Amino acid sequence: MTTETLETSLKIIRTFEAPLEKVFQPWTDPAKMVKWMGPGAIYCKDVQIALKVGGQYRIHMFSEEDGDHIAIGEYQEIVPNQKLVFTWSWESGTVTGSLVTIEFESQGESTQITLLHENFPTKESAERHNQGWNGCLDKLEKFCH
Amino acid sequence: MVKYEEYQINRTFHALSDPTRRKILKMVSAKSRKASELAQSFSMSFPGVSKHLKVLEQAYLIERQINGRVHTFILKERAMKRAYNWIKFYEKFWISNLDNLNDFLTNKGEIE
Repeated sequence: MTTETLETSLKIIRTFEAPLEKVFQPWTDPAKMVKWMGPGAIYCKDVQIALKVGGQYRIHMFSEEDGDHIAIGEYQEIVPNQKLVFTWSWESGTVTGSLVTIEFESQGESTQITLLHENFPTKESAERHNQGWNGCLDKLEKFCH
Repeated sequence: MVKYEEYQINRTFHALSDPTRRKILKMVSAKSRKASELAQSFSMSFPGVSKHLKVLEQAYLIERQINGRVHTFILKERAMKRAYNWIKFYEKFWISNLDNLNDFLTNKGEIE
């Protein structure tokens, strides 16, 4: 039994040969997102975005093999050309969603994207864990005994 | 791409998100451990480690075997595999999407 399974989040860092605004727009403009979202044989049929904190999005993807894959979620943080944080779940799914954080960094004519996908339903629960909340509770408990 | 069913997965990740629980899992995956042994390793109070063990149990990551007053814990691999599969699924998903984004950005027709 290997322990690589102990990761709880996924991080991808990638550089694109395009300036910052050009790399940010395809994430927030439905007309642009519909042209690239959808891995492999899955293509995007329709994208709806309400771009504001608390606003919802709906990404309707489709493949001949499996049919509809509809991703939905809510924006938690929006900093234009810098950062997007949104929840991510499948419309047909039954469990609470996960959290995607995308950060954009200009490198002159190119742009670096850092994508973090964590299995937490909100920014608050992710931050709480990252602050070592549980560690604090343990220390406190030891003190009380 | 097969649609990924996320049964119980949130509970698994909540269990995995704590560093103490990850250490407990590493120990239990090496070999089965008694509750007392685990409490000693972390120099933690018994109720303290007990809380962590319950979270791991409820996520079906470990299983408790009771023999009189001795509680022994063993690893349950299926939940670990599910967590691993979640990561792998989204890794493939986003890498492929970012490939598409790259094509979109470098396609001369798209850049004004």
